[in-house]
Amino acid sequence: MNPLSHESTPNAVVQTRARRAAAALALACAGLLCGCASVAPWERGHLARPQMTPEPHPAQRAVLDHAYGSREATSAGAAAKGAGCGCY
Amino acid sequence: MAATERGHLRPLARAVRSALASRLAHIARRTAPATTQSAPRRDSPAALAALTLAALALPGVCSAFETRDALFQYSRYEEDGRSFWPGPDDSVDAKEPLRVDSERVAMGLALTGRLSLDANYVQDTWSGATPLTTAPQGLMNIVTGASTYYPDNTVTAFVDQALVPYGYDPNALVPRPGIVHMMTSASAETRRQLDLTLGYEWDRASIEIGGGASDEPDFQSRFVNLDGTMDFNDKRTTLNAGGSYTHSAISAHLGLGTIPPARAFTDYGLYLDSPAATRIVSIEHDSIPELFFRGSRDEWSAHLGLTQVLDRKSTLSLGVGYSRSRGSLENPYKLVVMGFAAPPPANPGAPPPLPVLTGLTLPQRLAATRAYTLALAAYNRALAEYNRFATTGMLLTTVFNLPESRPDRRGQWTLNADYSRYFSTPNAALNVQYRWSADDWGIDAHALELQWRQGIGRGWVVTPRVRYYTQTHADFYRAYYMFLEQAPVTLDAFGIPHLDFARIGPRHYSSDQRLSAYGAASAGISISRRFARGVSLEAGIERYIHAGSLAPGGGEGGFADFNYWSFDVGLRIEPGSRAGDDTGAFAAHAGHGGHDRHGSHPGALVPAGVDGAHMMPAGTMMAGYRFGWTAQSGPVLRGTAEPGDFDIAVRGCTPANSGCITAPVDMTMSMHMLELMYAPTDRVNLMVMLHAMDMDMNMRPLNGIGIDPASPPHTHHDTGGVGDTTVAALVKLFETTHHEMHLGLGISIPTGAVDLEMSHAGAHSHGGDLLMDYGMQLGSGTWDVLPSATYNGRAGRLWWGAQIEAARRTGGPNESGYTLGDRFGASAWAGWSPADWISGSVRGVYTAEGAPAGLVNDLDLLTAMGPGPQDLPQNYGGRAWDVGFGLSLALPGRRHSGDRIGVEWLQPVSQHVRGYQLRRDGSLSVNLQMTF
Repeated sequence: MNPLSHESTPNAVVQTRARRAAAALALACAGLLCGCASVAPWERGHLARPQMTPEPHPAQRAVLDHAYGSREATSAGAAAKGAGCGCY
Repeated sequence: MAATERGHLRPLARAVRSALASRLAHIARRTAPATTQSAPRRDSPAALAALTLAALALPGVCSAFETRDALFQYSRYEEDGRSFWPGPDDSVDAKEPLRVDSERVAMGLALTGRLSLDANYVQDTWSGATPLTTAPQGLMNIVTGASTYYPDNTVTAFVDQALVPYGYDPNALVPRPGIVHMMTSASAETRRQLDLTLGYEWDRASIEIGGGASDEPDFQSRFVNLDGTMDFNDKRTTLNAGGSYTHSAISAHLGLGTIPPARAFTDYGLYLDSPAATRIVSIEHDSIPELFFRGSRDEWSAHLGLTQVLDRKSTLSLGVGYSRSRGSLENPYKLVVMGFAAPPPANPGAPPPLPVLTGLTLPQRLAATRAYTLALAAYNRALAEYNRFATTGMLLTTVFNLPESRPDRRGQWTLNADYSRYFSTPNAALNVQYRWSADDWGIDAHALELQWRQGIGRGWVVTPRVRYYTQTHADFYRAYYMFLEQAPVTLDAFGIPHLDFARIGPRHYSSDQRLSAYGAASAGISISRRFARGVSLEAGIERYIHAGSLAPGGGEGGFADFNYWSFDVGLRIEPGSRAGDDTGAFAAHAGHGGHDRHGSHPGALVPAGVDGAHMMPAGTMMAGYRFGWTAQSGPVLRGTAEPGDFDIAVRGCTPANSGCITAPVDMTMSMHMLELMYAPTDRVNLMVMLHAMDMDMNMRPLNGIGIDPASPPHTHHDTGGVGDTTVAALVKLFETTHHEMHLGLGISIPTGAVDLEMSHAGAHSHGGDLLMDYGMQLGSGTWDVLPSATYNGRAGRLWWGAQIEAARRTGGPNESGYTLGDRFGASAWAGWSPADWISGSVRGVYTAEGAPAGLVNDLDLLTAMGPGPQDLPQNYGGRAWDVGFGLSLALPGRRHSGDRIGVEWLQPVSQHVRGYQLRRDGSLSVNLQMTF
């Protein structure tokens, strides 16, 4: 008997799950847009702090992401822009 | 990558900045009461006002055409050793764990107020041992000590009826199911990547278009990307979207054709009839067939995201992405072990009956006797096999090593969420990131990361972080494959079994542990400090633990576990930004007093290839990056003449009895240097220089030399990694309006390796570990004293100078038993600056270098290997005259600071080499420096 008979997961399963997740995400986004408090520009000083930037150590992030990308099956993901083979 | 980072940073920063700009007048009236009510005492109104202004100073609000920022970074990735199977004769000694050294230089230019250009260069050099395949010990440790890397590529092993592999210990069969790695170690390889990004900003939107290339010996990528953002909802909401396309070409060197011990692990020649055969091609190189895996892959990705300001202290981002890959998605170096256990033999029953010969003619009798003999032999074989099975219970198993096979398509969905909240009291932010992805190979992955970004005043941000990642395995992943069936083989004319790929059950198979089920936990800390001069220092360290047991419900076995350390340090300079720390000490730095005169004093301009030739005024710091590239493409010289192959063979490699077997064809050497310079006083400047080297050399067998096809010589070497480190001091003797002179004294610290060995697959056949030649090692291995004296002159638009410098090796021999020769150099130059942003120079250079003392390899080993001239010390050193042509451009907006990028080409005019050496084509130097 071939021990690999369950070899391929149908593409459709992944797509269905992804569609559901995307729908949930779209709903969450819509919720976000409606449900947020109004924050006036002069009330956004805290948001400009270095701790609140999306990534306070961007150069280091690139190093970590490159290591993850060469060692994990999915981390290169959608953001990959030619990080090389990482075949080692 | 710089562009990517900025792409992440930009939407929110721009939203905040733009909103603040539109309300600047309002802020002046409102800030004080607003913050007094809402923020704790330590956040003074001035602090928030400062942040307001800091926000306004973020990238993008630059005046036209100036240097926005520059980044210099070094990082290292280093794995702990893995458990592995050393092979039957310890030829695969994985003593060096995998490590990667990376250097990166990035620069951003504001072309206009809204248009920007970012350039990013990064190179990684990796070396050490990496897993090649995995199998249970029972399949590797066979009776006679043969292993899966057996010349005919198949071995016969024993497994029981539950398919558990057995091995001898030493005479009795015992279960050996424990899975082990087989490792391979290769000489260093270097990857280089250059990418450019052009960005344009409107008031409420931005767009970036970028592209680049990544090159390594076996993998070339070209990529483009397009990203855009749009603000709406009074800039509380930012939508971002983008896409990218990457095309990669793979050309992996698998080994020297079908000649054993060609590639010591598997004979790819046997797989020329596999589905992957079209990707395995044989190329003749100097009449030696070499096998390559050739393929290409295309990858598209798209993403859509939304960032929302939730309230005054928190933001949330959500995103979705899809990527699609097509083509050769295999890792060309990974092998898969497949065992085919023959089903239990049936009892052959009674022996064949004796033939009845009466009444037959003589020929009929002979035929009947022959038929009986054959039937009896077959019966006896079957009976022996049956008896063996009956007494041992073991199934006879044929084991193959195969190159892995993956589907040629892959689609992957990714969802991500990122939440940040600021806490006033500890002045910190909590950041939570989660990502889920799923692909049609069956891999589901989750990643969760928590960061605590603590501001501790004076511009410090300390960020401890933890991350957990887990994934399920790909549908076609197995650590090894075992089937209960007769091996699907056909025998060729020589009786060598070939796998019939059409009869193998799975179409796709891989034992790459990246596709296995596992979990990974990592923890790290990042520290950054922002100084008043627009300079930031960053450093970080991370520990990463990969283990099958960290996956929920368990994953791959402990054999696949590994850990690594990652470390990085970086310096970022933003000349346009003089923002202070995050507590509000907004230092409107008026420019350093020394900067203005720095650009015009004697010595401010020197050709790009000259080291330590300029001094800076007190209080100035400088970060520099220098790239040096030297090419030698021959022919081989003896003194100044061109010897024939016979001359090289007979006289080039004395005292090795073998004479020379090979000669070098070409060699390139690249040097990357990060330089930090500080002027505590006008009279004394201090410097630290870190080097990274990579070298690449091709060789050819000499004409008329008989090459043993069973042991062909190496025809290619490459190495790379961290080089030596120099610390130096420059001391001024005098300076007038037109003349300046200083002395330099440097010490070269031997941080570069001098014990790099040839790859094991090749060294295996020579019976010992062979070191690479002198020129391929990364450092000198000795503490070198580097004295110099420099004179600079300047009058109006003309400038000139001269320098003598030397390298004196001390404390030799080094750990590999040799000392490089001393070096002396002298040069004189003259330059002209038609405008204050551009200048050109001409330089004459004389260099003389001695030969190394001591052999890099034992003479017997050299003789056994069959050396080339580069392996013997008498073929190093010599003297040469070069002429250099230089061009130097001031960095945009930085012409008064002396910040420039310079290029110089050194053209050899006369070369007199010692012994037999390749002729040098020339050297290129590129030098980028920024003061702060």
